[in-house]
Amino acid sequence: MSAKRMLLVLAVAAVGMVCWAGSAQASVINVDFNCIVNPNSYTGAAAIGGVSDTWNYITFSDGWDNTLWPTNVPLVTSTGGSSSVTLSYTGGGYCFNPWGQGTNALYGDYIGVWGGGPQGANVTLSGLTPGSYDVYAYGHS
Amino acid sequence: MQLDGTSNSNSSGFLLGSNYEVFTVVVGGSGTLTISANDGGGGFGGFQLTPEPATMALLGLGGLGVLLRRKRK
Repeated sequence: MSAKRMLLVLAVAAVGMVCWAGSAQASVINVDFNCIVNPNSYTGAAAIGGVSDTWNYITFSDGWDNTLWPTNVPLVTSTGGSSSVTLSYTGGGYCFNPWGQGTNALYGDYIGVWGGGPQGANVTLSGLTPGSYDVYAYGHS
Repeated sequence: MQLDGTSNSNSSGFLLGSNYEVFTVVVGGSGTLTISANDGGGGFGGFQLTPEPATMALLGLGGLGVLLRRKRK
């Protein structure tokens, strides 16, 4: 391989690494669930991410009322760019906001199930690229 | 850890095992992933999804391959 060709390959590799790093950041998707009454909308960094991150706010009707459950909601990346990923909700859960605005906005209002209530709160993401992912799930312990 | 909504602790900051958990999942050819709360008293308020480094490496190498192939043509 000539020196010129070697330089070309190295230059392309460098560009590739920069694109890779950029796409890694752009590939993070942030989702915050909100109940429609007193919604708590989170901003900034969580366990990962940065202070200027964009969040997807998914709004549910309160309690077991299923009139506002999301279907095929397009999600944006943490940099605000569009993605191929959509979010839908199925099941018999509820949206609960027991502390109003007085707690961390990311998990202050949450979706879930209750012992005696309908079971199965399922959030389905579609349009993902096959591969391994880390899911950071936020809630009260 | 159970994200069971019984405590209002840790209202500021994030502590692994206290107000968030990390799960590694594999998405297959269907491109879908379902996250469920099914423990009879739990729930979650949101999540962050990020590709594992290995997945990003494959995507990066794929992109690099495309660039090199175009250059050869």
